[in-house]
Formats: sequence, C-alpha cells, structure tokens
Amino acid sequence: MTITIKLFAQLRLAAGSGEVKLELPAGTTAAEAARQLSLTHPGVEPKGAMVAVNAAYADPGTVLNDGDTLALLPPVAGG
Amino acid sequence: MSDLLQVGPEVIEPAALLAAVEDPSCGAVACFLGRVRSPNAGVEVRYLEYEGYVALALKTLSDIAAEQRLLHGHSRWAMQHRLGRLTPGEISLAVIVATPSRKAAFSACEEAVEQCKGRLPVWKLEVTSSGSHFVPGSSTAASTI
Repeated sequence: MTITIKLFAQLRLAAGSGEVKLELPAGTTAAEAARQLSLTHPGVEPKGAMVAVNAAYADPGTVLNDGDTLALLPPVAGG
Repeated sequence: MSDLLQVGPEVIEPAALLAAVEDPSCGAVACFLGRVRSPNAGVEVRYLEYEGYVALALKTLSDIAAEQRLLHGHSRWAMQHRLGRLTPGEISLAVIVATPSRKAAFSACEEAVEQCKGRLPVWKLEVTSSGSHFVPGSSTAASTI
C-alpha cells in the first residue's frame, strides 16, 4: 500500500522534504511507518513525535490503510 | 452558529474578527492577541518563521471552540493563527469570544488560548542575530512515538 507522510519543522529539514511517499505492507502501523521512514531517510528521528492520520491526531499504534496520509508532528509551539 | 477559524499567511485584522462575533445576545467580548516578542530570553529576535499543518490546525480550532461551548454555553468564536515570516510586534494569534456575560468570556478566552498553545500543530523557527532554532513546544495533544 502507498502512504503519504507529511513532515514538519525539524523532521522536514532532516528529510529534506515536507512530504514523502512510502510503499509499505498492509497492516503497518503509524509507528512502524515512522520507523521505516527513519531507515530510508537517515537523520529523520521520529521518536517523541505525535502522529496524525488523515488530519486527525491518532495513536501511534493506529493501523494504516492504502492511501492514508500520516503526519509526524514534533512538539507544537503555536502562539 | 458559525465560528470564524483561520490558519494561514493572511494578516490578522482584529476589527474583522470582532465583527465576526457580533451577536445581540452576547454582551461580553474577550479578546487575546499574541504578538511576536523581542527580545526573547534576552536575545534580540529578527523574525519568527511559522509553519503549520493547516488541515489539522483548523480541525483543532473547531474542536477547541466546541469544547469551550460545552463548558461555557452559548458563545461566538473568531480564532486565527498566522503562518509565515512575522517580525516583532506583528500579531501571530488571535482568540476572540463573545458570550452573554463577562465571566464566561474571560474564562473561555483564557482556556482557549492555553489549548491553542498546547494543541495547535504550529511550529516556529526563531531567527536572531546569532542564529536560529525551533522554539521548544508541547507534546500533550496526543501520544508520542
């Protein structure tokens, strides 16, 4: 299945892009997808990030589906 | 009832936000404006570069308004977070709420600002005369990896 991963702030800079597509096996969780991203993009360290699936905050154990958008969110600092 | 919620590069115009919460049944309006500060921690700030996950930020603003409405009852909301490059003095965040009476307005406004600071998926790169760094933030909105 194809997953789109959105990256922000430090993670975006480490990946060199704000968006990455990964081909992953069915049943992959958000946390596993993030780990896979850190293998294909050395320097991306998702530990400590929150996740959102399809623009909603989600648990890292959420199982992804084909076409999902996963966002990796460093600690937020709005305002 | 519709709230005015906006996240993007548009300049924050407080008068337009105040107009958006007009409601004859609401006799109190509380307004918070957050501006870029310099110096910060003793260091002169040249500018802040804000980035955000707009779709999730809009959903989070909608959630915050709904939660505060449950707590405080009838209310009209205008909330806006600006993204992009902001120099000291420019408004980055506006939270404006109208309620029937003042106590609810003060409480709801303060609580919503705190929720925005803790939950909005927005990040800021602080650029000073001596370098740049991402401002440390909060991870309380959801479980982390």
